[in-house]
Amino acid sequence: MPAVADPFADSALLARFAGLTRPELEALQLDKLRRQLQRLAVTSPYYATKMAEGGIDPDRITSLDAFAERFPTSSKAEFLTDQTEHPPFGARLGIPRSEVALVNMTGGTSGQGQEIYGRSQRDVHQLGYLHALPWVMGGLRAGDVAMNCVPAGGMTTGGWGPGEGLRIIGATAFHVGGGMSTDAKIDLMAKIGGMNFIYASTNYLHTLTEGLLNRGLVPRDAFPNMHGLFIAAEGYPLEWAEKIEAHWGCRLQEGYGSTQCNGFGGSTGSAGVFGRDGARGLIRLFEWETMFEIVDPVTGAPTPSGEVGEMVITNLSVEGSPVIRFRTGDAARYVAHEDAGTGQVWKSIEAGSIGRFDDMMKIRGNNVWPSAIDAAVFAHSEVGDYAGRVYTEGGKTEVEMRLALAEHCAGLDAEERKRILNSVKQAVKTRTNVLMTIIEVSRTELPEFAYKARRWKDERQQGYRL
Amino acid sequence: MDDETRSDDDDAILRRMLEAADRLCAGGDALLTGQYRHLRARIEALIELRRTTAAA
Repeated sequence: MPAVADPFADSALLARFAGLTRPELEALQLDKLRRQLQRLAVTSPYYATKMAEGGIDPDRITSLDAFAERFPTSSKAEFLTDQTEHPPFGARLGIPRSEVALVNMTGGTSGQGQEIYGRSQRDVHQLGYLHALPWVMGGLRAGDVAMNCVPAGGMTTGGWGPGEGLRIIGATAFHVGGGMSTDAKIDLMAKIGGMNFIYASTNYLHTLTEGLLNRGLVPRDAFPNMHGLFIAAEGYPLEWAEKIEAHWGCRLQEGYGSTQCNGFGGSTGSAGVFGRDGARGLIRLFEWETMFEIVDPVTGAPTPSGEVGEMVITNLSVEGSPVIRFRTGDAARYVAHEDAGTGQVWKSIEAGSIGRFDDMMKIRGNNVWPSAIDAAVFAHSEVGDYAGRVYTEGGKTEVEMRLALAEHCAGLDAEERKRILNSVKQAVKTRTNVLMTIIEVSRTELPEFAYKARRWKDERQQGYRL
Repeated sequence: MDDETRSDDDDAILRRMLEAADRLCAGGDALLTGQYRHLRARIEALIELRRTTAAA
């Protein structure tokens, strides 16, 4: 496997952030936070009200703990209400409307509505920087050839950040996401030849790898100069990560980011997604740009190291539509710097297991996460993809999984296929305590996802309608 | 200050910015070099798009 360039040796600035003591890092955060709150106290009626509710005077805030204890959190619902009352950006905007240079919106997949973010020119540079930062940490350098498989442009942050990031790194960027089929992407990759880096959602890297293998191309042989695969947006089983690294012959890396972070908030960096002894690795958080709290979603109390909590984020320098103590709904396993073994004081979260508190499905009394089902299903290399639905029939909850085997299993006989389906069924039952009906279908009967996979549909509400 | 004088000032400012950006680009920090080159390219583009006479 090719060595990844050491980012701390290659960047004196990064080495300085890595060399901070915890008190030095927190002093930097507090200084940035105080400036942010002082500005918002006069520019954002939304946050001025929050400060009044918490009894916070930005000039007198003396510790991050006091801020976390007293500053009220914000939720997506509050942002949506603010936008309705003060269209289009809400009273939280914090800059004159005339200084909004880029508008981003959240995807709307929650069904609640889309948050809107107005970015200043400074924010747009930071948006690029917060994509460039994890990629430089992952070994991408000026002059490298990079392929961005996330759909470019449009209204989303993910549509603009990668382009800005690759541009300010100085990489040669091919933005192939969205309109180009997987086959067309593979054709282009073959023409380009000396490809070095790919950015894709977890789901799409799976699709691309499968597409290459189906065409008889072994990625590590076809693209011997590849030195980084960078994924985001979805969890995955370690068995899958091992296979991806074996197929491509290079390191798999992961980032945690969002519209609210104005890019990435952390990444595995050159260490990749595997930690000590082959266990899950760590996503190290860029705490000098974004303040992260990991809390109990019910009580709001800080989550102990090693436990899963909700990510609450605060932008320390974003000007337009900043988020201050925003409850993301993202579920992540927190690892304190003392337990991370990285020699740095940055907080971490576990790689590969980030989920959502709000896509959890309650099935027959069990809390079931799509990421847990994915882990069980994709631990089977024979599986191409699947789609599932939860529905009611005769008042009973039923769970159906439509599953397609990978192309390389096309020659298997009926007995073998049945054995694989049974194995998947048992693995899912072990992980979730839910027995599901599994039906084999052809790959063409399943939806394709260019970005985040939405494999599950909960149709129980329809089932209860009269 | 009349428009012509101010225009001359803008050119002089941009030339100084370009010289400063060249010095920034000479550093070897992997995280910053691309950003400095990006900044330099923007300054260079502004100088060129303001040019109204043939080069001497």
